[in-house]
Amino acid sequence: MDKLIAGSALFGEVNWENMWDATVETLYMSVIALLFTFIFGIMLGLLLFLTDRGQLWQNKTAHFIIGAYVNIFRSIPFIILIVLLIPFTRSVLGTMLGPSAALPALIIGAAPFYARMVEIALREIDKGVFEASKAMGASNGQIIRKVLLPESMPALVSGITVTAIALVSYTAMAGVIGAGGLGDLAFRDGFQRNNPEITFTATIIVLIIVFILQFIGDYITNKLDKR
Amino acid sequence: MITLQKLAKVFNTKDGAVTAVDDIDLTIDQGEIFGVIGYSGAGKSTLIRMLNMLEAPSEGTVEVAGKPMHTLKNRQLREARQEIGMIFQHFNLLWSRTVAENIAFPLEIKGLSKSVQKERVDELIKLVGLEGRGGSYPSQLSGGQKQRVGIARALANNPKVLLCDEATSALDPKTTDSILDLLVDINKKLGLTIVLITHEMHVIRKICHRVAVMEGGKIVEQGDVLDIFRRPRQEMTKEFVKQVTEPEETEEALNHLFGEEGIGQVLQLTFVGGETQRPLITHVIRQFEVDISILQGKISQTQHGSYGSLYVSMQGEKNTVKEAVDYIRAEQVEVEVIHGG
Repeated sequence: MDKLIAGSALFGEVNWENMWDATVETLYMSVIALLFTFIFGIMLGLLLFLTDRGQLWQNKTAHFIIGAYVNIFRSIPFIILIVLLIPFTRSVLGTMLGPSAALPALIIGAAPFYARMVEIALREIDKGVFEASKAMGASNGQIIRKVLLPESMPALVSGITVTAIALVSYTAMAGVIGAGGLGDLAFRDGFQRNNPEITFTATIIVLIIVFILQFIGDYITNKLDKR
Repeated sequence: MITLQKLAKVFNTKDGAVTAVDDIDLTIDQGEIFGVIGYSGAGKSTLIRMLNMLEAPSEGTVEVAGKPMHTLKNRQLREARQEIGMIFQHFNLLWSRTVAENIAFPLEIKGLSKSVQKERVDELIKLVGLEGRGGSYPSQLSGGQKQRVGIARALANNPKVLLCDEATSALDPKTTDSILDLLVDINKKLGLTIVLITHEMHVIRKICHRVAVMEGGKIVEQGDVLDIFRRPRQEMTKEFVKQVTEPEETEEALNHLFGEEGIGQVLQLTFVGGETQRPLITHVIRQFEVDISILQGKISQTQHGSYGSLYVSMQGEKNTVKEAVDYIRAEQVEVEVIHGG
């Protein structure tokens, strides 16, 4: 009984309804951004890999441009990227309010990050497998669909897991532009109004989300890996 | 079946141009097992890759199954490649696919229906002796089983030619023999033309009908396997023949004997085909006043009959020994005096 009272006293300042709303916002931003990051990241990573020297679509100029794009957007600190993208976001979505407003910045920031991991995953594939596929008369499209992607899938999944966790922490920063979410709640209600319980609770929830993501990612990677 | 004319490949490297294949003319017949032997760097790997245009020739022409491969592009080239199977030293299977899915891969590429694929895969699994393993992943197979999957995959689209790129070099001797037996079996059953490259003379001896010896991008010697074994002309060829006929310990044992008193003349006799079964030594001893002691002997099988070598020491009157040697030569047996001539 004492413990329960102590417990409720400790979290007495936490407004659970707000906390729940913030959790949903964080999950919404992370999941939607993750989906687009996965698609764009694989496309970028494939282009990066295929335009490289000795690969199927060898093209120096294209490789340089994609490489430069990936490196630049991977290097800009996320908090600055959000601010830089405000005019772009406003022109696309018409507003800077709500969790959706964070999506362009999240995707543009995370896709290049994931693209590098995709490229590394594709490089790991044994050259002999390409040679065998070519010898069997496979077209470039068939090699991409039937060889490149399936053979690198475990690495692609473990890469998207790392990216997903990075995305969750990016969403916390998205609060600055009014996107909401757990980071925003922890900063405004917790830090600025001096309610450490709220900061603490929000942190715990973020950690739980990260652990769940990591667990799912590891599980799928192990299932896929037949090596 | 395969005609190469003035074929050459030059690689441009940082250290300048490197000629990997240098002006090769070669004809390989339908249904033949043709071997190319050479040490690494001899250009054999580049040569076999030019047969299905994995490497584009710098010069010359490649004709396979009536198609001028060097002129084909894109779609035509891909279709031509479906008629040429290839197996590799490191198997190059897709680890994300099961055995059955790996074998179905070339059928998918060709765009055959699922039911046709399944039927063909079942046939192939049976042909290479992997019944019951269709659902396994490559990582669960031994090296020999992996190569069997590679062979099944290469045969899926009923090719006219099978290219073997050091197909047994990563396998142990026993597994090598079982894979070679399978290749001979397929050659006989399907009438398939097989081109293989290797650095092991054992592979050539065991399954090839004809052989070409490569050195420095050129073919230095070629002919029927049995002839090459009987009369190797080039130094390179002699070295390779020794791999099979003369185990290392022979040389050591002989060198040891040469030091002893009264060893007489040491001869290496080389028998080919039916000659291996004749009682030649008995005849010699009956007709000539010589003493013969047998030092070492060996018989090897090739696709065109057996091949044997026998080391003997012969003692007696100088003239008698000479007559005996002449007699052996007259019997169509190669004689080489390797000591005390």
